[in-house]
Amino acid sequence: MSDGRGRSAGTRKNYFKPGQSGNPNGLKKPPRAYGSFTKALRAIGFEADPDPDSKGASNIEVAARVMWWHANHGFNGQGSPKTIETIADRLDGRPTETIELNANVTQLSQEERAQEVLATLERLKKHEDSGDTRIN
Amino acid sequence: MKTLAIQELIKQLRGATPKDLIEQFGEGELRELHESLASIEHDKIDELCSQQVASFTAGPLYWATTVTMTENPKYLQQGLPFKAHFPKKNYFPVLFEAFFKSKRLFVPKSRETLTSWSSCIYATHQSQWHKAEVVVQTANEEKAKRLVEYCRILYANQPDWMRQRYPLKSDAALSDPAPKN
Repeated sequence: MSDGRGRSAGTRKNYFKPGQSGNPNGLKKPPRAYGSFTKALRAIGFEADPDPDSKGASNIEVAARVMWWHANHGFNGQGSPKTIETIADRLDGRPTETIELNANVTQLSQEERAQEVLATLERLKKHEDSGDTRIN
Repeated sequence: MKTLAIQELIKQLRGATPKDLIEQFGEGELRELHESLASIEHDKIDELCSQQVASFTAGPLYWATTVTMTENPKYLQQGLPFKAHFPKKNYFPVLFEAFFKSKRLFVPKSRETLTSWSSCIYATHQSQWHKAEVVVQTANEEKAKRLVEYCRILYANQPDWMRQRYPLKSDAALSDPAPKN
């Protein structure tokens, strides 16, 4: 039998009850051990690598060694300039980039502006006085 | 009209000091006056540059010797500034007269006579003010690139206001052509 809003008795039975949120039968959230993905990455980085060959070195140390190895011996022994660049950027910082900016920002004081006005007038006067002195 | 107004202004402000101007005009008025005078001066210089005459007081030689600058790679040996106005050599008006009048011109030249620079001054001037297409033929591609660079230098060393009046459509003239297969 419909409830007048097009929903059958079966649907009504499975419908969310008032005051109930989410799916009560759904997967439970795992406990938040690290708070965020970044915190987890950082924390796990300091944990020991489970590989016995790592001899207890941390995940970060192993990753650093892999990076160095890849830089110098990866790509069939040719090394990877890109990885070398990444390491250099990490260790020495990226080189300062120079950006050429052409901008005309002139903030004249009243005194400077007045001087400019008089100088421009003087130049214009010279133009007026000189007349046409062309060769041809 | 502008000439009369300037003459009147010159008469009124004869002997005035910057202090007098500050007292006479408000801040906004002084700025407006400055901008108006600069604009009049730019119009005047622009008009002089645009002329098709072989003279140091108007036309391409006026532009090269007064407004824009050339660059001298031998400036250290010669004890000259790196950037300077084109020199006023007495044979330049004769050469430019020939540029204007000749359909085909052969110039007997030697090193240091600045004939390449002169050709580029003429070419850039014609392009900037008269929308002309100038072909400068050279002995080889390297020399051609150098001359295009001369034109770029002449354009770039103009004052900001002049470059703004004649913006470049593109600055890609030095890019290499697509490689041949």
